[in-house]
Amino acid sequence: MRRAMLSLCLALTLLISCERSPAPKTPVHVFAAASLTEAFTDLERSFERAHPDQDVILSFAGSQTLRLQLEQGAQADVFASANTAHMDALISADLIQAAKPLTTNTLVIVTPANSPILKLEQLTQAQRIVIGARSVPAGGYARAAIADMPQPLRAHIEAHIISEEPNVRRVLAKVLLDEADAAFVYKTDVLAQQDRARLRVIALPNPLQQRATYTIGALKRAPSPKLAQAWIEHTLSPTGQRALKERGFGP
Amino acid sequence: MDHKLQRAAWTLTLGLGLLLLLGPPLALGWRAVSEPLKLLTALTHPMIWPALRLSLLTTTCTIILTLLLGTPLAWWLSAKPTRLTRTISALVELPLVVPPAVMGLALLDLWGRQGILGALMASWGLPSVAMTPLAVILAQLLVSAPLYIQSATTAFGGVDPELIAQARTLGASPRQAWWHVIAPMALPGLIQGAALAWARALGELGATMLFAGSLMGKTQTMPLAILDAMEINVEVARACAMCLGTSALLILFTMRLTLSRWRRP
Repeated sequence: MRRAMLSLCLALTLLISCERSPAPKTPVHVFAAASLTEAFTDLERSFERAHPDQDVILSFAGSQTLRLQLEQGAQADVFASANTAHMDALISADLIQAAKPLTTNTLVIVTPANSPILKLEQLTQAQRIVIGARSVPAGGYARAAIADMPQPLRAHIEAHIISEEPNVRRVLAKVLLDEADAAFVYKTDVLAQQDRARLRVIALPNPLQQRATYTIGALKRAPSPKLAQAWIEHTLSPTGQRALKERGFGP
Repeated sequence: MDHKLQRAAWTLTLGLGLLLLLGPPLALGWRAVSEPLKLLTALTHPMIWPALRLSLLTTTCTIILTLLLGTPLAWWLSAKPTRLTRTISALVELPLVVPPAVMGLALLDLWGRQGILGALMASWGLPSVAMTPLAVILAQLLVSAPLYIQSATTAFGGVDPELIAQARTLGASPRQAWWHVIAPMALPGLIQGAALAWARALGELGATMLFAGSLMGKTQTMPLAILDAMEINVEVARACAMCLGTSALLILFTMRLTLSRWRRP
């Protein structure tokens, strides 16, 4: 027993010491909307290839959660929001100097692939609908779309919302878990799913369509303002915009 | 000198302990009470009442279920300490050491529409449990009942078997012995366990979030409302937190009071 413990300790020590300590890299902390998870992870790779001495640390959550963390003093260099409202709030709180439009996204309805619901009008068959909470950007866009829908569709949807989730990925998860008959998410969220064959996307007709506008800005108290600027420029560069487009962002 | 130093270190340790443990709740209370107008306005926010009502309703159901199902289980676990009961009592305590989020996923795997029982129920045409107020109760039960069962098992185990035997020789039936000897003697332990379980159920967040979702008036309990309110208006979150904290304090004080009354005569 004792010998086993000793060898375990030894193995652990070896494991820890084996990890080579590379030259210290300058960290860039990026807070980004949950829907940007894959796109920004792609961009992290290309950014770090171009800036080998820098280490991008990404943190994803609902934009409203990130805004709250920033308001409460979280240390970050860059904030990317899935709407303009949360960005504007940080600008008026004097935490961010100015923001730039980053990209856009399209709101869609998603159902399980085997669902009998094939088009918007058939949403009256959905008994369990999930959307983002009011403060979640995707939840805000969904509410705007629902408000524009004709009756009785609108009343049916409003009466059959079973959960309001804290970010758009958790909304989608409810469909993947088969707990929801329909949900309001971004087109890009479905594209990012590996088992998207299990999902069906129903596009919103033009008059109902909500254009989600993403914004990006550097924090005034950014520990490394230059790097923050470099990251923002990278996302807005042709390479960055192409990467976003590959993930389904943009018009 | 040495003595003084010891004393200073002792005071410092105690002070630090008290600051770390009592400081945060006191700070919350102070911030809330120092601006009573803000607190009162926040308390009237439309989010709070449905969440408070739901929390009180669901935890009441949870505690009733805990007593009805947990008491026989605790009795069985304490009465026959075999290898089986020891294993089961360890397994029942699992939710106490496993993060609630794990339990939320576990609940989905059993009761969800793709879950083992959930799929079976769906095939019989029964409505799904997940994402309903019943799901809130099941989540609370799973994480809080172990506290009661643990406490009740210890309480039952502490009843002197000699007394039970005496009651039986004096002509009491097993049922009479249970109600008139065992239950009264175990009662302080049962009350303590029930109060702790209730407080735990009131604070349940992780499992509820995954298994029941969050919808105002249906599944959004007070802890979930605090999370949501933080992102809308911190004052409302603080008001929610005060309600929740006060409710938990009331439960704990009532428990202490009942127990001290019980022990005195």
